[in-house]
Amino acid sequence: MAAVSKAISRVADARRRAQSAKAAFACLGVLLFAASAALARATGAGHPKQTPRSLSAPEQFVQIVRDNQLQAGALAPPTAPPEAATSQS
Amino acid sequence: MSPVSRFDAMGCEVLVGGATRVELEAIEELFRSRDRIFSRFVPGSELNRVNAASGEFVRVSETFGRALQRALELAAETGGIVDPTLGGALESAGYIDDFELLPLDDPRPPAAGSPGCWSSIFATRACIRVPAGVRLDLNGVVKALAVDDALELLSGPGFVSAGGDVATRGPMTVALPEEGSVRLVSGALATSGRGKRRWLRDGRVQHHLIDARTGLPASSPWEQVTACGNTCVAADAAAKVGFLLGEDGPEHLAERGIPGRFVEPDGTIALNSAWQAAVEEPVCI
Repeated sequence: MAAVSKAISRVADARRRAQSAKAAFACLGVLLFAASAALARATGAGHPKQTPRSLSAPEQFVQIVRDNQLQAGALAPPTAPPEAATSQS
Repeated sequence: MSPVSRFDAMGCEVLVGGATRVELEAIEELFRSRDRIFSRFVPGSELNRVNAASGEFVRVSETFGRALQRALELAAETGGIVDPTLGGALESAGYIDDFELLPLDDPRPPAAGSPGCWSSIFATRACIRVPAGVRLDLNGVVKALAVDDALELLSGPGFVSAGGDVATRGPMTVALPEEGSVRLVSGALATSGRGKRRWLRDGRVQHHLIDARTGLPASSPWEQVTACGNTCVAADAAAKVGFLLGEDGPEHLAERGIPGRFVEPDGTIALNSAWQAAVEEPVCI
């Protein structure tokens, strides 16, 4: 009877060790994955190193364009009969 | 240049010169689609949907958002002289239907006008919010924008004219109001005035050029103003600014290098210094 109970205890111990080993192995895997991802993000060419911003013209340029919306066209003395007419609509 | 083609859209006659058949069809569709989106008189237009939802955030099409953005930029550039929030003021003055259908002598008095409030609009390209009770009117900027966009559809030299606003690619001679003509080398010519779209309310003359400060039809010493801009949108805005600023109009445009031609009610023509300089010295091209 004592021999049977000792054998069961050894099997339970072995199961506990196996579970611990599996858990440790899984944790190690997760840590390795996280470390690889972090390294890839920090060094890989395809990964942004900072918060992405939309592509747009610099604010100063936009402001200058905005301030110059009312620009003149070019006129000259007439040299031919009119092809069209401007009138109030 | 191929023969000039004509069609009616946005309540005016559109002339196109230099377009192929395919380009002309694209231009016609462009004007008709803009009319469907921006007309105050087309039931179910996007403009009417936006106006009906004033006070709320509304999703808008890219075309609508772009036009409103442009109108707001012009309002900022002109210090609010040209304002897209004057739809209510136009309705108060009695402009409540297509001009052809408008009673020209309505015995009812005009309602009190609402001043412009363009700076209260929240707008992105996709979403806008207009203050409660405010009604947009984008007709001026939309017609001019359609002319500019239509010109981009031409593959070669040509011109597009809508209701008297002319934009060209390549030099052309353009007849001017009252008398004379000028060579438009590049850009556009637009004319604004109170002579054509005017009507009576309770015996008082009303017209569509609203003073944003009062919300009432503007009083101006000019009958009509013609301006030359690098685009039709710029020319149209400059002509309106020239008219609405009254006696200060010629100098205001000249300070910005914009040629302006001002016609008084008796037909007297005044040119600002920029216009005079342009027609006195030929431009080399």
